[in-house]
Amino acid sequence: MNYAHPEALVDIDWLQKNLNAPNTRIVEVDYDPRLAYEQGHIPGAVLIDWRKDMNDPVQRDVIGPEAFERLMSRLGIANDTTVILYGDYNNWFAAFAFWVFKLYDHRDVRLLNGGRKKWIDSGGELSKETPSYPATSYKVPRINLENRIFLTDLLKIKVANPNAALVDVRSPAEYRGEITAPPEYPEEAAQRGGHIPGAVNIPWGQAVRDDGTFKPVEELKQLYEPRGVTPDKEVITYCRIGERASHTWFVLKYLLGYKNVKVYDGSWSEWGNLVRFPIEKEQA
Amino acid sequence: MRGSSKLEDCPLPSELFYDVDNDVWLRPLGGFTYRVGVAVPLLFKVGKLSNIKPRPVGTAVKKGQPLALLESQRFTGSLWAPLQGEIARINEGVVAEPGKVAEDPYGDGWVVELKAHSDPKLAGLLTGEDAIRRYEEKIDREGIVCLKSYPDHRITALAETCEMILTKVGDYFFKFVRPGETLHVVTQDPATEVDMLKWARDMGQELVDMKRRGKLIHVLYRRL
Repeated sequence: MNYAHPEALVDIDWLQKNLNAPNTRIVEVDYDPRLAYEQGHIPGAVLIDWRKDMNDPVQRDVIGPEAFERLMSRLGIANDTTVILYGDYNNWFAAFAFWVFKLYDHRDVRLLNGGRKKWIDSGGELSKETPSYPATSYKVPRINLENRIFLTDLLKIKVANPNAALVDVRSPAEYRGEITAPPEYPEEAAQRGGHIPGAVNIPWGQAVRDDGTFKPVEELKQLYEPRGVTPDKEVITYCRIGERASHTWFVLKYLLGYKNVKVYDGSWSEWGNLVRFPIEKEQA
Repeated sequence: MRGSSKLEDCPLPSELFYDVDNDVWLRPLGGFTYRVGVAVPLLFKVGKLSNIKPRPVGTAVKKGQPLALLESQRFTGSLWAPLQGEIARINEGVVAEPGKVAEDPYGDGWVVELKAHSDPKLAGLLTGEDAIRRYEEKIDREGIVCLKSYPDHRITALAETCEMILTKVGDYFFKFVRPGETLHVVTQDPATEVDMLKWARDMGQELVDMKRRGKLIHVLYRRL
Protein backbone atom coordinates (compact mmCIF):
# COMPACT_ATOMS: atom_id res chain seq x y z
CA MET A 1 0.00 0.00 0.00
CA ASN A 2 1.42 3.36 -1.01
CA TYR A 3 -0.57 5.42 1.48
CA ALA A 4 0.96 8.73 2.52
CA HIS A 5 1.23 7.73 6.18
CA PRO A 6 1.28 3.93 6.34
CA GLU A 7 2.32 4.16 10.00
CA ALA A 8 -1.23 5.25 10.87
CA LEU A 9 -2.66 1.91 9.75
CA VAL A 10 -2.08 -1.73 10.67
CA ASP A 11 -3.48 -4.70 8.82
CA ILE A 12 -4.99 -7.92 10.14
CA ASP A 13 -1.85 -10.02 9.51
CA TRP A 14 0.30 -7.59 11.47
CA LEU A 15 -2.10 -7.64 14.38
CA GLN A 16 -2.35 -11.46 14.36
CA LYS A 17 1.41 -11.57 14.87
CA ASN A 18 1.50 -8.73 17.39
CA LEU A 19 -1.41 -9.55 19.69
CA ASN A 20 0.95 -9.66 22.65
CA ALA A 21 3.41 -7.04 21.51
CA PRO A 22 4.91 -5.11 24.41
CA ASN A 23 3.77 -1.58 25.07
CA THR A 24 0.80 -1.96 22.76
CA ARG A 25 -2.87 -1.66 23.62
CA ILE A 26 -5.70 -2.81 21.36
CA VAL A 27 -8.90 -0.81 21.81
CA GLU A 28 -12.35 -1.56 20.42
CA VAL A 29 -14.49 1.57 19.98
CA ASP A 30 -18.22 0.91 19.85
CA TYR A 31 -21.42 2.80 19.43
CA ASP A 32 -23.31 -0.07 21.07
CA PRO A 33 -20.98 -2.39 23.03
CA ARG A 34 -23.85 -4.75 23.82
CA LEU A 35 -23.96 -5.74 20.15
CA ALA A 36 -20.22 -5.64 19.56
CA TYR A 37 -17.57 -5.81 22.31
CA GLU A 38 -19.78 -7.93 24.58
CA GLN A 39 -20.44 -10.36 21.72
CA GLY A 40 -16.73 -11.05 21.49
CA HIS A 41 -13.70 -8.88 20.78
CA ILE A 42 -10.06 -9.28 19.77
CA PRO A 43 -8.33 -11.08 22.67
CA GLY A 44 -6.77 -8.58 25.05
CA ALA A 45 -8.68 -5.60 23.64
CA VAL A 46 -10.17 -3.02 26.01
CA LEU A 47 -13.36 -1.10 25.31
CA ILE A 48 -14.08 2.55 24.61
CA ASP A 49 -17.84 3.05 24.78
CA TRP A 50 -18.28 6.00 22.42
CA ARG A 51 -21.34 7.42 24.15
CA LYS A 52 -20.07 7.17 27.72
CA ASP A 53 -16.33 7.56 27.28
CA MET A 54 -15.79 9.99 24.40
CA ASN A 55 -18.36 12.69 25.12
CA ASP A 56 -18.54 15.31 27.83
CA PRO A 57 -21.51 14.47 30.07
CA VAL A 58 -22.66 18.10 30.39
CA GLN A 59 -21.82 20.34 27.46
CA ARG A 60 -21.79 19.31 23.84
CA ASP A 61 -18.13 18.50 23.33
CA VAL A 62 -15.71 15.61 23.32
CA ILE A 63 -14.26 14.75 26.72
CA GLY A 64 -11.85 17.29 28.18
CA PRO A 65 -8.14 16.62 28.72
CA GLU A 66 -8.58 15.53 32.36
CA ALA A 67 -11.28 13.04 31.42
CA PHE A 68 -9.09 11.79 28.58
CA GLU A 69 -6.23 11.31 31.04
CA ARG A 70 -8.48 9.36 33.39
CA LEU A 71 -9.74 7.21 30.50
CA MET A 72 -6.22 6.43 29.30
CA SER A 73 -5.07 5.61 32.81
CA ARG A 74 -8.03 3.30 33.37
CA LEU A 75 -7.35 1.46 30.10
CA GLY A 76 -3.69 1.01 30.97
CA ILE A 77 -2.47 3.32 28.21
CA ALA A 78 0.66 5.35 28.90
CA ASN A 79 1.95 8.27 26.85
CA ASP A 80 4.35 6.01 24.97
CA THR A 81 1.89 3.12 24.39
CA THR A 82 1.15 2.17 20.80
CA VAL A 83 -2.65 2.22 20.52
CA ILE A 84 -4.46 0.14 17.89
CA LEU A 85 -8.06 1.27 17.39
CA TYR A 86 -10.76 -0.72 15.66
CA GLY A 87 -14.52 -0.96 15.69
CA ASP A 88 -17.66 -1.88 13.82
CA TYR A 89 -19.49 0.10 11.11
CA ASN A 90 -16.25 0.12 9.08
CA ASN A 91 -14.34 1.86 11.87
CA TRP A 92 -16.80 4.75 11.98
CA PHE A 93 -16.44 5.36 15.72
CA ALA A 94 -12.84 4.13 15.83
CA ALA A 95 -11.91 6.88 13.36
CA PHE A 96 -13.59 9.41 15.62
CA ALA A 97 -11.60 8.09 18.59
CA PHE A 98 -8.44 8.38 16.45
CA TRP A 99 -9.27 12.04 15.92
CA VAL A 100 -9.71 12.54 19.69
CA PHE A 101 -6.37 10.81 20.36
CA LYS A 102 -4.79 13.30 17.95
CA LEU A 103 -6.60 16.19 19.61
CA TYR A 104 -4.80 15.23 22.81
CA ASP A 105 -1.60 14.63 20.89
CA HIS A 106 -1.12 10.93 21.62
CA ARG A 107 2.15 9.99 19.97
CA ASP A 108 1.45 6.61 18.39
CA VAL A 109 -2.12 5.72 17.48
CA ARG A 110 -3.11 3.51 14.54
CA LEU A 111 -6.28 2.20 12.95
CA LEU A 112 -6.86 -1.48 12.19
CA ASN A 113 -7.61 -1.63 8.45
CA GLY A 114 -10.97 -3.38 8.02
CA GLY A 115 -11.92 -3.18 11.69
CA ARG A 116 -14.10 -5.73 13.40
CA LYS A 117 -15.54 -7.05 10.18
CA LYS A 118 -12.26 -7.93 8.51
CA TRP A 119 -10.90 -9.45 11.71
CA ILE A 120 -13.82 -11.90 11.96
CA ASP A 121 -13.89 -12.51 8.23
CA SER A 122 -10.20 -13.47 8.38
CA GLY A 123 -10.93 -16.07 11.04
CA GLY A 124 -9.53 -14.03 13.89
CA GLU A 125 -10.26 -15.41 17.33
CA LEU A 126 -12.70 -13.58 19.58
CA SER A 127 -12.84 -13.45 23.33
CA LYS A 128 -15.56 -12.50 25.78
CA GLU A 129 -13.16 -11.92 28.64
CA THR A 130 -12.70 -8.34 29.73
CA PRO A 131 -9.01 -7.82 30.40
CA SER A 132 -7.66 -5.35 32.91
CA TYR A 133 -4.28 -3.70 32.93
CA PRO A 134 -2.36 -1.76 35.56
CA ALA A 135 -3.47 1.86 35.65
CA THR A 136 -1.08 4.46 34.30
CA SER A 137 -0.63 8.13 35.10
CA TYR A 138 -1.30 9.53 31.66
CA LYS A 139 -0.63 13.21 30.97
CA VAL A 140 -1.96 15.06 27.94
CA PRO A 141 1.17 16.76 26.57
CA ARG A 142 -0.71 19.49 24.70
CA ILE A 143 -4.02 20.12 23.02
CA ASN A 144 -3.62 20.04 19.27
CA LEU A 145 -6.40 21.92 17.50
CA GLU A 146 -4.98 21.66 13.98
CA ASN A 147 -7.55 19.01 13.02
CA ARG A 148 -10.61 20.70 14.46
CA ILE A 149 -12.62 23.73 13.40
CA PHE A 150 -15.41 25.53 15.24
CA LEU A 151 -18.30 27.45 13.73
CA THR A 152 -16.80 30.93 14.10
CA ASP A 153 -13.60 29.94 12.32
CA LEU A 154 -15.56 28.13 9.66
CA LEU A 155 -17.48 31.32 8.92
CA LYS A 156 -14.21 33.29 8.66
CA ILE A 157 -12.80 30.76 6.23
CA LYS A 158 -15.89 30.85 4.07
CA VAL A 159 -15.33 34.60 3.70
CA ALA A 160 -11.53 34.69 3.53
CA ASN A 161 -10.89 31.59 1.48
CA PRO A 162 -13.64 30.84 -1.02
CA ASN A 163 -11.34 28.22 -2.42
CA ALA A 164 -11.67 26.02 0.66
CA ALA A 165 -13.34 22.67 0.00
CA LEU A 166 -16.22 21.68 2.20
CA VAL A 167 -17.08 17.96 2.15
CA ASP A 168 -20.43 16.74 3.41
CA VAL A 169 -19.89 13.01 4.07
CA ARG A 170 -23.50 12.15 4.97
CA SER A 171 -25.87 10.11 2.82
CA PRO A 172 -27.30 11.81 -0.29
CA ALA A 173 -30.76 11.88 1.32
CA GLU A 174 -29.41 13.85 4.28
CA TYR A 175 -27.40 16.14 1.98
CA ARG A 176 -30.47 16.95 -0.09
CA GLY A 177 -32.48 17.58 3.05
CA GLU A 178 -34.98 14.78 2.46
CA ILE A 179 -34.25 13.47 5.94
CA THR A 180 -32.72 15.30 8.89
CA ALA A 181 -31.02 12.24 10.43
CA PRO A 182 -30.33 8.66 9.27
CA PRO A 183 -33.17 6.29 10.21
CA GLU A 184 -30.99 4.55 12.82
CA TYR A 185 -30.48 7.80 14.74
CA PRO A 186 -33.84 9.57 14.56
CA GLU A 187 -33.26 11.46 17.80
CA GLU A 188 -30.28 13.31 16.35
CA ALA A 189 -32.25 15.27 13.81
CA ALA A 190 -31.73 19.00 13.18
CA GLN A 191 -34.52 21.55 12.81
CA ARG A 192 -33.83 21.94 9.10
CA GLY A 193 -32.59 19.60 6.38
CA GLY A 194 -30.04 20.31 3.66
CA HIS A 195 -26.36 21.18 3.57
CA ILE A 196 -23.92 24.04 4.06
CA PRO A 197 -23.84 26.12 0.87
CA GLY A 198 -21.00 25.08 -1.40
CA ALA A 199 -20.39 21.68 0.20
CA VAL A 200 -19.91 18.68 -2.07
CA ASN A 201 -21.43 15.34 -1.09
CA ILE A 202 -19.02 12.40 -0.89
CA PRO A 203 -20.49 9.81 1.51
CA TRP A 204 -17.83 8.55 3.91
CA GLY A 205 -18.49 4.86 3.21
CA GLN A 206 -17.34 5.25 -0.39
CA ALA A 207 -13.76 5.24 0.89
CA VAL A 208 -13.98 1.58 1.96
CA ARG A 209 -14.33 -1.66 0.05
CA ASP A 210 -16.93 -4.35 0.69
CA ASP A 211 -14.60 -6.16 3.05
CA GLY A 212 -14.29 -3.09 5.25
CA THR A 213 -10.72 -2.13 4.28
CA PHE A 214 -9.78 1.20 2.74
CA LYS A 215 -9.68 1.55 -1.03
CA PRO A 216 -6.26 1.90 -2.65
CA VAL A 217 -4.78 5.35 -3.24
CA GLU A 218 -5.72 5.60 -6.93
CA GLU A 219 -9.38 4.87 -6.24
CA LEU A 220 -9.45 7.31 -3.35
CA LYS A 221 -7.97 10.06 -5.51
CA GLN A 222 -10.64 9.36 -8.09
CA LEU A 223 -13.26 9.76 -5.40
CA TYR A 224 -12.15 13.17 -4.11
CA GLU A 225 -10.11 15.06 -6.71
CA PRO A 226 -12.67 15.28 -9.54
CA ARG A 227 -15.08 16.83 -7.02
CA GLY A 228 -12.67 19.64 -6.23
CA VAL A 229 -11.35 18.16 -2.99
CA THR A 230 -7.67 18.49 -3.84
CA PRO A 231 -4.51 18.41 -1.71
CA ASP A 232 -3.65 22.07 -2.35
CA LYS A 233 -6.84 23.28 -0.66
CA GLU A 234 -7.94 23.83 2.87
CA VAL A 235 -10.43 20.99 3.38
CA ILE A 236 -13.19 20.79 5.96
CA THR A 237 -15.25 17.65 6.52
CA TYR A 238 -18.57 17.47 8.33
CA CYS A 239 -21.48 15.09 8.85
CA ARG A 240 -24.25 15.10 11.48
CA ILE A 241 -22.31 15.12 14.75
CA GLY A 242 -18.70 14.68 13.60
CA GLU A 243 -18.07 10.93 13.60
CA ARG A 244 -18.35 10.08 9.92
CA ALA A 245 -16.45 13.30 9.18
CA SER A 246 -13.48 11.95 11.18
CA HIS A 247 -13.41 8.89 8.97
CA THR A 248 -13.06 10.99 5.81
CA TRP A 249 -10.58 13.27 7.62
CA PHE A 250 -8.46 10.17 8.30
CA VAL A 251 -8.60 9.14 4.65
CA LEU A 252 -7.62 12.57 3.33
CA LYS A 253 -4.91 13.28 5.88
CA TYR A 254 -3.28 9.90 6.49
CA LEU A 255 -3.98 7.89 3.35
CA LEU A 256 -3.78 10.66 0.76
CA GLY A 257 -1.44 12.99 2.66
CA TYR A 258 -3.49 16.22 2.51
CA LYS A 259 -1.74 18.80 4.67
CA ASN A 260 -4.69 20.89 5.77
CA VAL A 261 -7.83 18.95 6.71
CA LYS A 262 -10.12 19.74 9.60
CA VAL A 263 -13.26 18.23 11.06
CA TYR A 264 -16.15 20.59 11.73
CA ASP A 265 -17.62 18.47 14.51
CA GLY A 266 -20.47 20.90 15.14
CA SER A 267 -21.61 19.53 11.79
CA TRP A 268 -25.20 19.51 10.61
CA SER A 269 -26.67 19.23 14.08
CA GLU A 270 -25.17 22.69 14.72
CA TRP A 271 -25.61 24.40 11.34
CA GLY A 272 -29.07 22.99 10.69
CA ASN A 273 -30.33 24.41 13.98
CA LEU A 274 -29.02 27.96 13.57
CA VAL A 275 -31.50 30.76 12.99
CA ARG A 276 -31.21 32.53 9.61
CA PHE A 277 -28.25 30.53 8.40
CA PRO A 278 -28.22 29.80 4.67
CA ILE A 279 -29.01 26.26 3.59
CA GLU A 280 -28.70 24.59 0.21
CA LYS A 281 -30.67 21.57 -0.86
CA GLU A 282 -29.58 20.94 -4.42
CA GLN A 283 -26.32 19.27 -5.47
CA ALA A 284 -23.37 21.67 -5.51
CA MET B 1 -40.84 -26.88 21.29
CA ARG B 2 -42.09 -25.77 24.65
CA GLY B 3 -44.53 -23.03 25.47
CA SER B 4 -42.51 -21.14 28.01
CA SER B 5 -43.87 -17.62 28.34
CA LYS B 6 -40.59 -15.79 27.80
CA LEU B 7 -39.53 -18.08 24.99
CA GLU B 8 -42.89 -18.64 23.29
CA ASP B 9 -41.79 -16.60 20.29
CA CYS B 10 -38.20 -17.84 20.43
CA PRO B 11 -38.51 -21.53 19.57
CA LEU B 12 -35.66 -23.77 20.70
CA PRO B 13 -36.19 -27.30 19.33
CA SER B 14 -35.40 -29.75 22.11
CA GLU B 15 -33.48 -32.22 19.92
CA LEU B 16 -30.74 -29.69 19.15
CA PHE B 17 -27.62 -28.78 21.12
CA TYR B 18 -26.98 -25.16 22.01
CA ASP B 19 -24.04 -22.96 22.83
CA VAL B 20 -26.34 -20.58 24.70
CA ASP B 21 -23.71 -17.92 25.40
CA ASN B 22 -23.00 -17.53 21.71
CA ASP B 23 -26.48 -18.26 20.26
CA VAL B 24 -25.36 -21.22 18.19
CA TRP B 25 -27.32 -24.43 17.58
CA LEU B 26 -25.91 -27.76 16.50
CA ARG B 27 -27.71 -30.76 14.97
CA PRO B 28 -25.91 -34.12 14.88
CA LEU B 29 -26.26 -35.63 11.40
CA GLY B 30 -24.31 -38.80 12.22
CA GLY B 31 -20.86 -39.78 11.06
CA PHE B 32 -19.21 -37.01 13.10
CA THR B 33 -20.98 -34.39 11.01
CA TYR B 34 -22.92 -31.57 12.61
CA ARG B 35 -25.12 -28.91 11.08
CA VAL B 36 -24.67 -25.50 12.70
CA GLY B 37 -26.83 -22.39 12.67
CA VAL B 38 -28.02 -19.26 14.45
CA ALA B 39 -30.36 -19.61 17.45
CA VAL B 40 -33.42 -17.36 17.22
CA PRO B 41 -32.77 -15.18 20.30
CA LEU B 42 -29.77 -13.64 18.53
CA LEU B 43 -32.06 -12.34 15.80
CA PHE B 44 -34.18 -10.52 18.36
CA LYS B 45 -31.06 -9.01 19.82
CA VAL B 46 -29.26 -7.86 16.68
CA GLY B 47 -32.04 -7.76 14.08
CA LYS B 48 -32.42 -9.75 10.87
CA LEU B 49 -29.16 -10.70 9.23
CA SER B 50 -28.19 -8.87 6.07
CA ASN B 51 -24.89 -10.61 5.33
CA ILE B 52 -23.57 -14.10 6.06
CA LYS B 53 -20.09 -15.03 4.93
CA PRO B 54 -18.95 -18.52 5.98
CA ARG B 55 -15.26 -19.35 5.99
CA PRO B 56 -14.15 -21.69 3.19
CA VAL B 57 -14.82 -25.44 3.14
CA GLY B 58 -11.83 -27.23 4.63
CA THR B 59 -11.06 -24.51 7.19
CA ALA B 60 -10.00 -25.99 10.52
CA VAL B 61 -11.55 -24.19 13.47
CA LYS B 62 -11.07 -24.34 17.18
CA LYS B 63 -13.91 -23.79 19.61
CA GLY B 64 -14.61 -20.05 19.75
CA GLN B 65 -13.18 -19.21 16.34
CA PRO B 66 -15.56 -17.86 13.72
CA LEU B 67 -17.35 -20.22 11.34
CA ALA B 68 -18.88 -17.27 9.54
CA LEU B 69 -19.12 -13.50 9.58
CA LEU B 70 -22.65 -12.39 10.52
CA GLU B 71 -23.94 -8.88 9.92
CA SER B 72 -27.16 -7.03 10.49
CA GLN B 73 -27.77 -3.33 10.16
CA ARG B 74 -26.56 -2.82 13.74
CA PHE B 75 -24.23 -5.76 14.27
CA THR B 76 -20.95 -7.19 13.04
CA GLY B 77 -20.28 -10.53 14.67
CA SER B 78 -19.35 -14.13 14.44
CA LEU B 79 -21.00 -17.54 14.27
CA TRP B 80 -18.83 -19.11 16.95
CA ALA B 81 -17.56 -22.63 16.39
CA PRO B 82 -19.25 -24.73 19.08
CA LEU B 83 -16.76 -27.59 18.61
CA GLN B 84 -13.28 -28.03 17.25
CA GLY B 85 -13.47 -29.37 13.72
CA GLU B 86 -13.37 -28.65 10.04
CA ILE B 87 -15.91 -26.89 7.84
CA ALA B 88 -17.30 -29.60 5.54
CA ARG B 89 -20.09 -27.80 3.73
CA ILE B 90 -21.53 -24.32 3.35
CA ASN B 91 -25.18 -23.45 2.86
CA GLU B 92 -24.98 -21.32 -0.28
CA GLY B 93 -28.72 -20.69 0.13
CA VAL B 94 -28.23 -18.42 3.16
CA VAL B 95 -25.21 -16.75 1.59
CA ALA B 96 -27.41 -15.74 -1.34
CA GLU B 97 -30.44 -14.97 0.85
CA PRO B 98 -29.49 -14.16 4.46
CA GLY B 99 -33.20 -13.64 5.20
CA LYS B 100 -33.60 -17.43 5.17
CA VAL B 101 -32.08 -17.60 8.64
CA ALA B 102 -35.04 -15.70 10.06
CA GLU B 103 -37.59 -17.56 7.95
CA ASP B 104 -36.47 -21.08 8.84
CA PRO B 105 -33.73 -20.83 11.47
CA TYR B 106 -33.46 -24.53 12.30
CA GLY B 107 -34.15 -25.86 8.81
CA ASP B 108 -33.14 -24.22 5.53
CA GLY B 109 -31.48 -21.45 7.50
CA TRP B 110 -28.52 -23.57 8.64
CA VAL B 111 -25.14 -22.01 7.92
CA VAL B 112 -22.37 -24.62 7.80
CA GLU B 113 -21.73 -28.30 8.40
CA LEU B 114 -18.86 -29.18 10.65
CA LYS B 115 -16.81 -32.39 10.81
CA ALA B 116 -15.88 -32.85 14.44
CA HIS B 117 -14.61 -35.67 16.56
CA SER B 118 -15.60 -34.28 19.93
CA ASP B 119 -18.84 -34.95 21.74
CA PRO B 120 -21.19 -31.94 22.04
CA LYS B 121 -22.02 -32.85 25.65
CA LEU B 122 -18.37 -32.99 26.59
CA ALA B 123 -17.84 -29.68 24.84
CA GLY B 124 -20.28 -28.11 27.30
CA LEU B 125 -23.22 -27.72 24.91
CA LEU B 126 -26.73 -27.99 26.34
CA THR B 127 -29.84 -29.67 25.02
CA GLY B 128 -33.55 -30.00 25.92
CA GLU B 129 -34.71 -28.48 29.21
CA ASP B 130 -31.19 -27.55 30.26
CA ALA B 131 -30.77 -25.33 27.22
CA ILE B 132 -34.17 -23.72 27.74
CA ARG B 133 -33.43 -22.95 31.39
CA ARG B 134 -30.11 -21.38 30.48
CA TYR B 135 -31.79 -19.35 27.75
CA GLU B 136 -34.46 -18.06 30.13
CA GLU B 137 -31.73 -16.75 32.41
CA LYS B 138 -29.88 -15.18 29.51
CA ILE B 139 -32.96 -13.49 28.11
CA ASP B 140 -33.68 -11.90 31.50
CA ARG B 141 -30.10 -10.86 32.01
CA GLU B 142 -29.67 -9.29 28.61
CA GLY B 143 -33.17 -7.87 28.24
CA ILE B 144 -33.87 -9.73 25.00
CA VAL B 145 -37.52 -9.76 23.96
CA CYS B 146 -38.90 -12.38 21.59
CA LEU B 147 -41.76 -10.94 19.55
CA LYS B 148 -44.31 -12.51 17.21
CA SER B 149 -42.38 -11.27 14.20
CA TYR B 150 -38.87 -9.95 13.61
CA PRO B 151 -38.47 -6.19 13.77
CA ASP B 152 -37.16 -4.46 10.65
CA HIS B 153 -36.78 -1.16 12.51
CA ARG B 154 -36.47 -0.20 16.13
CA ILE B 155 -36.86 3.02 18.06
CA THR B 156 -36.62 3.66 21.76
CA ALA B 157 -38.55 6.39 23.51
CA LEU B 158 -37.67 6.11 27.17
CA ALA B 159 -37.62 9.75 28.21
CA GLU B 160 -40.76 10.84 26.39
CA THR B 161 -44.30 10.82 27.69
CA CYS B 162 -47.22 9.37 25.85
CA GLU B 163 -48.09 12.06 23.32
CA MET B 164 -44.47 12.59 22.41
CA ILE B 165 -43.97 8.87 21.96
CA LEU B 166 -46.82 8.66 19.49
CA THR B 167 -45.53 11.68 17.59
CA LYS B 168 -42.12 10.06 17.39
CA VAL B 169 -43.61 6.73 16.33
CA GLY B 170 -45.69 8.40 13.62
CA ASP B 171 -42.77 10.45 12.29
CA TYR B 172 -40.58 7.40 12.01
CA PHE B 173 -43.23 4.96 10.86
CA PHE B 174 -44.51 6.91 7.88
CA LYS B 175 -41.08 8.09 6.83
CA PHE B 176 -38.96 4.95 7.04
CA VAL B 177 -41.12 1.81 7.42
CA ARG B 178 -42.16 0.41 4.08
CA PRO B 179 -45.35 -1.61 3.55
CA GLY B 180 -44.88 -5.11 5.00
CA GLU B 181 -42.06 -4.02 7.32
CA THR B 182 -42.26 -3.85 11.10
CA LEU B 183 -41.27 -1.28 13.71
CA HIS B 184 -40.31 -2.25 17.27
CA VAL B 185 -41.02 0.53 19.77
CA VAL B 186 -39.55 0.41 23.27
CA THR B 187 -41.10 2.70 25.88
CA GLN B 188 -41.60 2.80 29.61
CA ASP B 189 -44.56 5.08 30.15
CA PRO B 190 -47.22 2.94 31.88
CA ALA B 191 -49.97 5.06 30.36
CA THR B 192 -48.81 4.06 26.90
CA GLU B 193 -50.35 0.65 26.38
CA VAL B 194 -53.92 1.68 25.61
CA ASP B 195 -52.84 4.57 23.42
CA MET B 196 -50.44 2.41 21.50
CA LEU B 197 -53.29 0.03 20.69
CA LYS B 198 -55.54 2.90 19.71
CA TRP B 199 -52.84 4.44 17.52
CA ALA B 200 -52.69 1.33 15.33
CA ARG B 201 -56.47 1.33 14.95
CA ASP B 202 -56.67 5.06 14.20
CA MET B 203 -53.89 4.87 11.65
CA GLY B 204 -55.19 1.68 10.06
CA GLN B 205 -51.97 -0.20 10.81
CA GLU B 206 -51.37 -3.63 12.33
CA LEU B 207 -50.33 -4.09 15.93
CA VAL B 208 -48.44 -7.36 15.72
CA ASP B 209 -47.37 -7.77 19.33
CA MET B 210 -47.20 -5.98 22.66
CA LYS B 211 -45.22 -7.30 25.60
CA ARG B 212 -44.21 -5.96 28.98
CA ARG B 213 -40.81 -6.90 30.35
CA GLY B 214 -40.04 -5.39 33.72
CA LYS B 215 -40.48 -1.64 33.33
CA LEU B 216 -40.33 -1.69 29.56
CA ILE B 217 -43.14 -1.99 27.07
CA HIS B 218 -42.37 -3.48 23.67
CA VAL B 219 -44.72 -2.84 20.79
CA LEU B 220 -44.42 -4.19 17.27
CA TYR B 221 -46.30 -2.49 14.42
CA ARG B 222 -46.50 -3.61 10.82
CA ARG B 223 -47.10 -1.13 8.04
CA LEU B 224 -49.95 -2.22 5.80
